[in-house]
Amino acid sequence: MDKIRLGPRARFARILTSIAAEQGRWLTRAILALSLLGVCQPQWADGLSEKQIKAAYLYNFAKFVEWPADMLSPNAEILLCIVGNNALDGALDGLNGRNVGEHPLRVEQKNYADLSVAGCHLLYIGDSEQAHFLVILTALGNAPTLTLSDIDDFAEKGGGIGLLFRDNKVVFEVNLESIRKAGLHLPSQLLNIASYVYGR
Amino acid sequence: MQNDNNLKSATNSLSLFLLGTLLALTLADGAAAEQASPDIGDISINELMQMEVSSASRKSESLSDTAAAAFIISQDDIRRSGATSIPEALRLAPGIEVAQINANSWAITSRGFNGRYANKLLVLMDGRTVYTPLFSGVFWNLQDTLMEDIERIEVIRGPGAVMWGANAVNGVINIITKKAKDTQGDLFVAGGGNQEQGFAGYRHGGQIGNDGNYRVYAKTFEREAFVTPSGQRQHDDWRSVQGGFRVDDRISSNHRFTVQGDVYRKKVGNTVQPLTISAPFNTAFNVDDQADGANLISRWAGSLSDGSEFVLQGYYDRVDFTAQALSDSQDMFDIDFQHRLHPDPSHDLMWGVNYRFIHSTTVNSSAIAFTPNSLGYHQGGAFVQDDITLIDHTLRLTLGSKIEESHFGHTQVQPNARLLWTPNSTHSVWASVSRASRIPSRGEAQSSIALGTANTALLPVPIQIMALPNPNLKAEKVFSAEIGYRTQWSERFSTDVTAFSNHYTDLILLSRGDLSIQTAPTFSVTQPLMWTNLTREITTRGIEVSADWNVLDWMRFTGNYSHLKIEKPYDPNNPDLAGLSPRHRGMLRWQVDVNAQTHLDMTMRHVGRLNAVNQSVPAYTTFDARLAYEPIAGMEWSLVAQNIFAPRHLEFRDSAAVSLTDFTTEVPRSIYGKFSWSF
Repeated sequence: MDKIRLGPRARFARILTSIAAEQGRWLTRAILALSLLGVCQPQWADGLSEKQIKAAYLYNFAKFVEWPADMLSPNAEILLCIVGNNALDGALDGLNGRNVGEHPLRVEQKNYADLSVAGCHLLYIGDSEQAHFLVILTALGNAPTLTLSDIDDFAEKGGGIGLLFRDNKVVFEVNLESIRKAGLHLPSQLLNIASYVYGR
Repeated sequence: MQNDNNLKSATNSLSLFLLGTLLALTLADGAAAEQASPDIGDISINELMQMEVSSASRKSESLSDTAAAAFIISQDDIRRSGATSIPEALRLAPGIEVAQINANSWAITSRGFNGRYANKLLVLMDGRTVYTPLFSGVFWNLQDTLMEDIERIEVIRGPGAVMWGANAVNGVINIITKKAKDTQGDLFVAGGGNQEQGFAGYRHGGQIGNDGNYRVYAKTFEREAFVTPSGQRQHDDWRSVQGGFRVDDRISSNHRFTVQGDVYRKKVGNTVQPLTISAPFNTAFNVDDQADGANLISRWAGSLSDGSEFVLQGYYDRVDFTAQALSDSQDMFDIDFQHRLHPDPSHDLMWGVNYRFIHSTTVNSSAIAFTPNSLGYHQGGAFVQDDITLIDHTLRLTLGSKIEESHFGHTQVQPNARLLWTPNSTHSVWASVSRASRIPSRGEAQSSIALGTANTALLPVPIQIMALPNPNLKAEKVFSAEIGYRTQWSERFSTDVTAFSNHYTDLILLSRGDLSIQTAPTFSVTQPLMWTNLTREITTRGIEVSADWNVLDWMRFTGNYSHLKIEKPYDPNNPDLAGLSPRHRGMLRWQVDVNAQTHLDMTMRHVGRLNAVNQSVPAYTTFDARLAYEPIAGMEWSLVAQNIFAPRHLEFRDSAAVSLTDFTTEVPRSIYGKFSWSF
């Protein structure tokens, strides 16, 4: 009875085992055993892509960051601006229209060349802008905008929050000096779990 | 018979390997669709931090916007390959030829002309050149660091002269170590096996002040000698002790400072022959050669109020060789400045200047003599490069040139133009034309090398063969045209194809001179070989293909194939030129995450035959496997078996000398275990 209910994986495992039994050499046996392991292993990955994880981080930061009162009045829209070609493969577009607490989030694509990024509450700089993200940060000055990016060195060179891929996970770095200059506030529990905090 | 069996078992295993793979794939097909992604709005930061990225969508190091044949070997690639040295790690890059000569020496090149002193590939470690100006090429057995501290190795095939300067004729390799902030805490690695007799490494990283970090490391290893085709151990073992440090200090968002350095002692077994003009001739004996080295790099990176960035870097590097054939002390001092600015949104402009002083003193031997034996000389250069956006995110043109002045060769002008077309985010097409130079080495311009003696029936004494210097050498030049196409066919499958055509002029090669006969003090006959610029143009053409297929979240295939053709009429002076690099090479990797703690990697390589007169090597196929188990985060046990298919195989003959006893060694089958703990 049990035999009938065997899944395709188990059936395949049986075929492999029988092949292994016929082959004498240790090497073939080893390779077969290892393929078997590969076939029979369970699903364990979380199934989110790196870009989706980064977008989820951004959504969380939007909940935690506190803007100055004149920048964000109650129930007003939070504007998330994106600079860069195909930033996070469009994963951020899914955030458009979601609520961050009492504030609805609106996503807007901007062009690097016009630099009209003032008025954005959040600014995500895609990795296509690696060459000139410093120019964007310079143009932004001390505007009350939380800048985020997955460009390497982003936080180290003055960006607000950098998202980094390390050991198959996504971690984040914060440049506290830049956050303070922008007049923003991040709760200390967020800083405590950051992988690195510059300008503490 | 033995060979027959090996071949049979290799084909057997290969077919089963492929069969297993295919079956696994068919089954795995449906499995991927089973999982549903959670809504990204519902996940907390703490959960996000623990979340493993599904490997299918692992950030492929962003190369889609590079107008060059570039490849990045990541730390993860290095770890999972089981490579214990930099040359082994380079085997992961498509288009790079890595052939092991003996237990401590490699012949490594890109796009042809391989050899122990392959001289058309520039190699840098954290911005410090490891290309030796003494003999043009890289002493691979001196280049090392803690493998775990390498962040990535950037491999650029084709000329890279504008950014990196002379000698980047066929490619550039940039070995980049992690920042000190990414190596905090402690790491301990140790292991051993039959060829890797024992190795251990320790690294400690900590914080200095508010925004500064440091690390210190030490490592040591001992490698067993290789075997001759008849199965005898040679005398080519390799031992190393090395230590180093790195300090990164961040003064502000606008200014960062790095100081780093290494100090090492390497000992290699060597078999040499006293090149006497009287009997007994060519009797080999074993010696131990030693190299002591140290380097210190300091780098200041900053940004200015207009958003432009600069890097000022200086380094000092010293190597002392103590060897039977030649002892040499070399000091190198280098200072480099680069500035990157954006005069308007469509221009990304870079310029830089570089100055280098090299001083080397040799102790001449009967085998190699430098005239003068001590020399200090300067070289310098300047470059400018503009990256112009013609159509936003779609069409980009890069124009640049480097001008270089050196003690050897004349002033070199090395221009480059590249065009990159990215019609959408999944396709990119690029084309490039460039000119690059290889400056004559001090060895070619100033050293006499006794290459051995040859017996003839006509003469009572053997003929001495000498390589003689040529102070009037011009630099080697290449004109290169390349075209490339990269595609992300789906989220899980991508390919990269490059084709090139290289035209070399003034290649520096040995050519035969007239026999010279001396009667006093003793009767001797010498056959001089002179370094000369080849007057004919030599053309190489090739195609390099690589593919990356993330079949499933837990299974990944990568493969590459390179084809190389050297077009040149037969030249009796240099019959070997065309046969030093194989026409076909290929590699296939299969990576399986058995479960969250267990990883399995299998790599198969095929290298076509070499058919040069002094370099006949049959084609070979090898197979490596690594099984790693991570019981708790940060701790890993791994077992690596290399070259499993045959008890030993030949990759490259040591043809440093003419008509001497054959010292050819073969790469044996090997196994080692390793423990790694980061805490």
